[in-house]
Amino acid sequence: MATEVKVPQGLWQDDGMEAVITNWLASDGATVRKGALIAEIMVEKSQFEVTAPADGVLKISKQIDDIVRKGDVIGQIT
Amino acid sequence: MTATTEVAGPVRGLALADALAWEASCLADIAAGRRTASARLWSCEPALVAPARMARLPGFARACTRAADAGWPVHLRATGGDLVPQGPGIVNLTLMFREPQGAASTLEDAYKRLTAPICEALSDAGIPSRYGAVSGAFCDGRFNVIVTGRKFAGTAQRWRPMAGGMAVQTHAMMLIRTPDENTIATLNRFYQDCGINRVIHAMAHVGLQELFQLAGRKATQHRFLRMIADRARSCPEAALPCGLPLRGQRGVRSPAR
Repeated sequence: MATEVKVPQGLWQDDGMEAVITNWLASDGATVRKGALIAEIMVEKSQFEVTAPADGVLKISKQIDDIVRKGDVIGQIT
Repeated sequence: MTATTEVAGPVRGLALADALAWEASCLADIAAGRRTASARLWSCEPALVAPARMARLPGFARACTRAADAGWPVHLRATGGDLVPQGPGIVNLTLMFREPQGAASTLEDAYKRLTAPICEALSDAGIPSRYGAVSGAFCDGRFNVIVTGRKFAGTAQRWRPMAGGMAVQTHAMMLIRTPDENTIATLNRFYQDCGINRVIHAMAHVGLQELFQLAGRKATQHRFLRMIADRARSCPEAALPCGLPLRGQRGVRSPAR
Protein backbone atom coordinates (compact mmCIF):
# COMPACT_ATOMS: atom_id res chain seq x y z
CA MET A 1 0.00 0.00 0.00
CA ALA A 2 1.38 3.42 -1.01
CA THR A 3 1.58 6.40 1.32
CA GLU A 4 1.30 9.80 -0.33
CA VAL A 5 3.90 12.50 0.31
CA LYS A 6 1.90 15.73 0.37
CA VAL A 7 2.51 19.45 0.61
CA PRO A 8 1.36 20.11 4.19
CA GLN A 9 -2.10 21.56 4.74
CA GLY A 10 -2.71 24.43 7.11
CA LEU A 11 0.77 25.94 7.15
CA TRP A 12 -0.36 29.03 5.30
CA GLN A 13 -3.75 30.71 5.00
CA ASP A 14 -3.98 31.79 1.38
CA ASP A 15 -5.38 28.84 -0.60
CA GLY A 16 -4.27 30.42 -3.86
CA MET A 17 -0.65 30.84 -2.82
CA GLU A 18 1.81 28.74 -4.81
CA ALA A 19 4.88 27.01 -3.41
CA VAL A 20 7.90 25.68 -5.24
CA ILE A 21 9.84 22.49 -4.62
CA THR A 22 13.35 23.74 -3.92
CA ASN A 23 15.10 20.49 -3.09
CA TRP A 24 14.75 16.73 -2.96
CA LEU A 25 17.05 15.31 -0.30
CA ALA A 26 16.22 11.70 -1.19
CA SER A 27 16.48 10.28 -4.70
CA ASP A 28 13.74 8.68 -6.74
CA GLY A 29 13.78 4.99 -5.81
CA ALA A 30 15.66 5.52 -2.55
CA THR A 31 14.66 3.70 0.62
CA VAL A 32 13.59 6.22 3.24
CA ARG A 33 12.66 6.00 6.91
CA LYS A 34 9.58 7.60 8.44
CA GLY A 35 10.42 11.07 9.75
CA ALA A 36 13.50 11.55 7.57
CA LEU A 37 13.86 14.89 5.80
CA ILE A 38 13.22 14.17 2.11
CA ALA A 39 12.27 17.48 0.47
CA GLU A 40 12.04 21.23 0.92
CA ILE A 41 9.41 23.55 -0.43
CA MET A 42 9.39 27.33 -0.35
CA VAL A 43 6.48 29.72 -0.18
CA GLU A 44 6.49 33.40 0.74
CA LYS A 45 10.20 33.28 1.63
CA SER A 46 9.48 30.43 4.05
CA GLN A 47 11.27 27.14 3.68
CA PHE A 48 9.27 24.08 4.81
CA GLU A 49 10.89 20.73 5.47
CA VAL A 50 8.94 17.73 4.20
CA THR A 51 9.54 14.48 6.05
CA ALA A 52 8.79 10.93 4.98
CA PRO A 53 5.35 9.88 6.26
CA ALA A 54 6.30 6.17 6.21
CA ASP A 55 9.15 3.70 5.77
CA GLY A 56 9.64 2.47 2.22
CA VAL A 57 10.78 3.27 -1.30
CA LEU A 58 10.27 6.83 -2.52
CA LYS A 59 8.69 7.56 -5.90
CA ILE A 60 9.01 11.24 -6.80
CA SER A 61 6.16 12.73 -8.85
CA LYS A 62 7.01 16.47 -8.70
CA GLN A 63 10.43 17.75 -9.60
CA ILE A 64 12.63 20.59 -8.29
CA ASP A 65 11.23 23.98 -9.36
CA ASP A 66 7.75 22.52 -9.94
CA ILE A 67 4.94 24.71 -8.62
CA VAL A 68 2.71 23.08 -6.00
CA ARG A 69 -0.20 24.04 -3.74
CA LYS A 70 -1.39 23.00 -0.31
CA GLY A 71 -2.28 19.32 -0.23
CA ASP A 72 -0.66 18.44 -3.58
CA VAL A 73 0.89 14.98 -3.79
CA ILE A 74 4.60 15.29 -4.62
CA GLY A 75 5.57 11.65 -4.22
CA GLN A 76 4.64 8.22 -2.90
CA ILE A 77 6.27 5.77 -0.55
CA THR A 78 5.63 2.05 -1.11
CA MET B 1 37.53 40.80 5.87
CA THR B 2 37.09 41.69 9.52
CA ALA B 3 34.90 44.54 10.64
CA THR B 4 33.72 45.93 13.91
CA THR B 5 30.00 46.28 14.26
CA GLU B 6 28.91 49.83 14.89
CA VAL B 7 25.87 48.86 16.92
CA ALA B 8 26.25 47.75 20.50
CA GLY B 9 23.96 47.52 23.50
CA PRO B 10 21.61 44.57 23.01
CA VAL B 11 23.22 43.70 19.67
CA ARG B 12 26.10 41.26 19.61
CA GLY B 13 28.76 41.23 16.93
CA LEU B 14 29.12 37.72 15.52
CA ALA B 15 30.98 36.07 12.70
CA LEU B 16 28.26 35.36 10.14
CA ALA B 17 29.24 31.69 9.98
CA ASP B 18 28.79 31.43 13.75
CA ALA B 19 25.41 33.15 13.62
CA LEU B 20 24.17 30.77 10.92
CA ALA B 21 25.54 27.77 12.82
CA TRP B 22 23.80 28.98 16.00
CA GLU B 23 20.50 29.28 14.12
CA ALA B 24 20.85 25.73 12.77
CA SER B 25 21.80 24.35 16.19
CA CYS B 26 18.98 26.18 17.93
CA LEU B 27 16.38 24.95 15.43
CA ALA B 28 17.65 21.40 15.95
CA ASP B 29 17.36 21.85 19.74
CA ILE B 30 13.78 23.06 19.45
CA ALA B 31 12.86 20.23 17.06
CA ALA B 32 14.39 17.72 19.50
CA GLY B 33 12.49 19.22 22.44
CA ARG B 34 15.63 20.42 24.20
CA ARG B 35 14.34 24.02 24.29
CA THR B 36 11.10 25.75 23.41
CA ALA B 37 12.18 29.15 22.15
CA SER B 38 15.14 31.44 21.63
CA ALA B 39 15.90 34.92 20.33
CA ARG B 40 18.98 36.85 19.34
CA LEU B 41 19.73 40.32 18.04
CA TRP B 42 23.01 40.27 16.10
CA SER B 43 25.18 41.95 13.51
CA CYS B 44 28.12 40.64 11.50
CA GLU B 45 30.90 41.42 9.06
CA PRO B 46 30.18 42.46 5.44
CA ALA B 47 29.01 39.48 3.39
CA LEU B 48 26.35 38.30 1.01
CA VAL B 49 23.91 35.61 2.14
CA ALA B 50 22.09 33.48 -0.40
CA PRO B 51 19.44 30.79 0.05
CA ALA B 52 20.93 27.36 -0.50
CA ARG B 53 18.95 26.77 -3.71
CA MET B 54 20.86 29.59 -5.45
CA ALA B 55 23.99 27.42 -5.37
CA ARG B 56 22.50 25.35 -8.22
CA LEU B 57 22.68 28.28 -10.64
CA PRO B 58 25.35 27.81 -13.34
CA GLY B 59 27.03 31.15 -12.67
CA PHE B 60 26.93 30.88 -8.88
CA ALA B 61 30.57 29.81 -8.34
CA ARG B 62 31.90 32.63 -10.51
CA ALA B 63 29.58 35.14 -8.83
CA CYS B 64 30.89 34.00 -5.41
CA THR B 65 34.50 34.39 -6.48
CA ARG B 66 33.93 37.89 -7.85
CA ALA B 67 31.98 38.95 -4.78
CA ALA B 68 34.62 37.57 -2.38
CA ASP B 69 37.37 39.33 -4.34
CA ALA B 70 35.44 42.57 -3.87
CA GLY B 71 35.26 42.02 -0.10
CA TRP B 72 31.85 40.32 0.03
CA PRO B 73 32.29 36.61 0.89
CA VAL B 74 29.17 34.58 0.18
CA HIS B 75 27.40 32.35 2.72
CA LEU B 76 24.40 30.05 2.29
CA ARG B 77 21.45 30.09 4.65
CA ALA B 78 18.64 27.67 5.50
CA THR B 79 15.68 30.06 5.31
CA GLY B 80 13.85 30.96 2.12
CA GLY B 81 14.04 34.18 0.16
CA ASP B 82 16.73 35.69 -1.98
CA LEU B 83 20.19 37.28 -1.90
CA VAL B 84 20.81 39.80 0.91
CA PRO B 85 23.78 41.84 2.09
CA GLN B 86 25.03 41.72 5.66
CA GLY B 87 27.37 44.07 7.49
CA PRO B 88 27.70 46.68 10.23
CA GLY B 89 24.79 48.69 8.84
CA ILE B 90 22.36 45.83 9.41
CA VAL B 91 20.92 44.31 12.60
CA ASN B 92 19.30 40.87 12.51
CA LEU B 93 16.57 39.53 14.77
CA THR B 94 16.37 35.76 14.94
CA LEU B 95 13.32 34.43 16.78
CA MET B 96 12.72 30.71 17.15
CA PHE B 97 9.87 28.89 18.80
CA ARG B 98 7.81 25.74 18.85
CA GLU B 99 4.28 25.64 17.46
CA PRO B 100 2.33 22.83 19.09
CA GLN B 101 0.17 20.67 16.84
CA GLY B 102 -3.34 22.06 16.60
CA ALA B 103 -2.21 25.61 17.33
CA ALA B 104 -3.47 26.56 13.85
CA SER B 105 -0.47 28.79 13.39
CA THR B 106 0.56 29.70 9.88
CA LEU B 107 3.53 31.35 8.23
CA GLU B 108 1.51 34.57 8.20
CA ASP B 109 1.11 34.34 11.99
CA ALA B 110 4.82 33.65 12.40
CA TYR B 111 5.74 36.71 10.32
CA LYS B 112 3.48 38.87 12.48
CA ARG B 113 5.01 37.44 15.66
CA LEU B 114 8.52 38.14 14.32
CA THR B 115 7.82 41.68 13.19
CA ALA B 116 5.60 42.78 16.09
CA PRO B 117 8.57 43.96 18.23
CA ILE B 118 9.95 45.91 15.24
CA CYS B 119 6.63 47.54 14.32
CA GLU B 120 5.93 48.39 17.98
CA ALA B 121 9.35 49.99 18.40
CA LEU B 122 8.82 52.02 15.23
CA SER B 123 5.39 53.06 16.42
CA ASP B 124 6.77 54.12 19.80
CA ALA B 125 9.26 56.28 17.89
CA GLY B 126 6.40 57.89 15.99
CA ILE B 127 7.18 56.07 12.74
CA PRO B 128 4.20 54.32 11.09
CA SER B 129 5.00 51.06 9.31
CA ARG B 130 3.13 48.37 7.41
CA TYR B 131 3.74 45.07 5.60
CA GLY B 132 4.26 44.98 1.89
CA ALA B 133 6.40 44.30 -1.15
CA VAL B 134 8.64 47.05 -2.54
CA SER B 135 9.57 47.09 -6.20
CA GLY B 136 13.36 47.26 -6.58
CA ALA B 137 14.13 46.04 -3.04
CA PHE B 138 16.47 43.10 -2.46
CA CYS B 139 14.90 39.86 -1.23
CA ASP B 140 11.46 41.35 -1.70
CA GLY B 141 8.38 39.82 -0.10
CA ARG B 142 4.89 40.55 1.19
CA PHE B 143 6.11 40.59 4.79
CA ASN B 144 8.75 43.27 4.50
CA VAL B 145 8.33 45.98 7.13
CA ILE B 146 8.04 49.12 5.04
CA VAL B 147 8.18 52.76 6.05
CA THR B 148 7.32 55.63 3.71
CA GLY B 149 6.98 53.07 0.91
CA ARG B 150 10.56 51.85 1.33
CA LYS B 151 11.88 48.58 2.78
CA PHE B 152 13.13 48.86 6.35
CA ALA B 153 13.21 45.16 7.29
CA GLY B 154 13.13 41.91 5.34
CA THR B 155 11.92 38.60 6.70
CA ALA B 156 12.26 34.84 6.09
CA GLN B 157 11.46 31.56 7.83
CA ARG B 158 12.20 27.86 8.08
CA TRP B 159 9.74 25.27 9.44
CA ARG B 160 10.73 21.80 10.63
CA PRO B 161 8.26 19.07 11.66
CA MET B 162 8.81 17.74 15.18
CA ALA B 163 6.99 15.42 17.53
CA GLY B 164 3.78 17.20 18.47
CA GLY B 165 4.21 20.25 16.30
CA MET B 166 6.61 22.36 14.27
CA ALA B 167 9.92 24.02 15.10
CA VAL B 168 9.92 27.50 13.55
CA GLN B 169 12.92 29.68 12.72
CA THR B 170 12.09 33.28 11.83
CA HIS B 171 14.54 35.95 10.82
CA ALA B 172 14.31 39.68 10.18
CA MET B 173 17.10 41.92 8.93
CA MET B 174 16.72 45.59 9.79
CA LEU B 175 18.53 48.32 7.90
CA ILE B 176 20.35 50.64 10.27
CA ARG B 177 21.90 52.50 7.36
CA THR B 178 20.24 52.88 3.97
CA PRO B 179 22.32 50.63 1.66
CA ASP B 180 24.96 52.58 -0.26
CA GLU B 181 25.53 52.37 -4.00
CA ASN B 182 28.49 50.01 -3.55
CA THR B 183 26.27 47.50 -1.73
CA ILE B 184 23.57 47.77 -4.37
CA ALA B 185 26.11 47.45 -7.20
CA THR B 186 27.49 44.31 -5.53
CA LEU B 187 24.03 42.72 -5.41
CA ASN B 188 23.28 43.64 -9.01
CA ARG B 189 26.64 42.30 -10.21
CA PHE B 190 25.98 39.03 -8.36
CA TYR B 191 22.59 38.65 -10.06
CA GLN B 192 24.15 39.43 -13.41
CA ASP B 193 26.90 36.83 -12.87
CA CYS B 194 24.23 34.26 -11.94
CA GLY B 195 22.24 35.07 -15.10
CA ILE B 196 19.32 36.48 -13.11
CA ASN B 197 17.49 39.40 -14.70
CA ARG B 198 16.84 41.50 -11.59
CA VAL B 199 17.85 45.04 -10.70
CA ILE B 200 17.96 46.38 -7.13
CA HIS B 201 17.64 50.11 -6.39
CA ALA B 202 19.11 51.84 -3.34
CA MET B 203 16.11 54.16 -2.98
CA ALA B 204 13.78 51.20 -2.48
CA HIS B 205 15.29 50.89 1.03
CA VAL B 206 15.44 53.08 4.10
CA GLY B 207 17.68 52.76 7.14
CA LEU B 208 16.93 53.58 10.75
CA GLN B 209 19.45 56.41 10.78
CA GLU B 210 17.71 58.09 7.87
CA LEU B 211 14.34 57.59 9.54
CA PHE B 212 15.62 59.09 12.78
CA GLN B 213 17.90 61.58 11.01
CA LEU B 214 20.25 60.85 13.82
CA ALA B 215 23.69 60.61 12.33
CA GLY B 216 25.98 60.38 15.32
CA ARG B 217 23.16 60.08 17.84
CA LYS B 218 23.59 56.41 18.56
CA ALA B 219 21.87 56.58 21.94
CA THR B 220 18.50 56.91 20.23
CA GLN B 221 19.35 54.03 17.94
CA HIS B 222 20.36 51.90 20.92
CA ARG B 223 17.11 52.69 22.73
CA PHE B 224 15.19 51.55 19.67
CA LEU B 225 17.12 48.27 19.48
CA ARG B 226 16.83 47.74 23.25
CA MET B 227 13.06 48.05 22.91
CA ILE B 228 13.05 45.36 20.23
CA ALA B 229 15.29 43.12 22.34
CA ASP B 230 13.05 43.51 25.38
CA ARG B 231 9.93 42.69 23.38
CA ALA B 232 11.54 39.73 21.61
CA ARG B 233 12.65 38.45 25.01
CA SER B 234 9.00 38.09 25.99
CA CYS B 235 9.04 34.98 23.79
CA PRO B 236 9.05 32.11 26.34
CA GLU B 237 12.53 30.98 27.36
CA ALA B 238 14.11 33.29 24.83
CA ALA B 239 17.69 34.21 25.59
CA LEU B 240 19.13 37.55 24.51
CA PRO B 241 21.88 38.13 23.71
CA CYS B 242 24.52 35.45 23.40
CA GLY B 243 27.86 36.83 22.26
CA LEU B 244 30.43 35.04 20.17
CA PRO B 245 33.71 36.48 18.92
CA LEU B 246 33.59 38.42 15.69
CA ARG B 247 35.98 37.24 13.00
CA GLY B 248 36.24 37.59 9.26
CA GLN B 249 35.27 34.91 6.73
CA ARG B 250 36.04 34.41 3.08
CA GLY B 251 34.61 32.08 0.48
CA VAL B 252 31.30 30.24 0.48
CA ARG B 253 30.09 28.90 3.80
CA SER B 254 27.17 26.58 4.41
CA PRO B 255 25.19 26.63 7.63
CA ALA B 256 25.77 23.61 9.84
CA ARG B 257 22.84 21.22 9.76
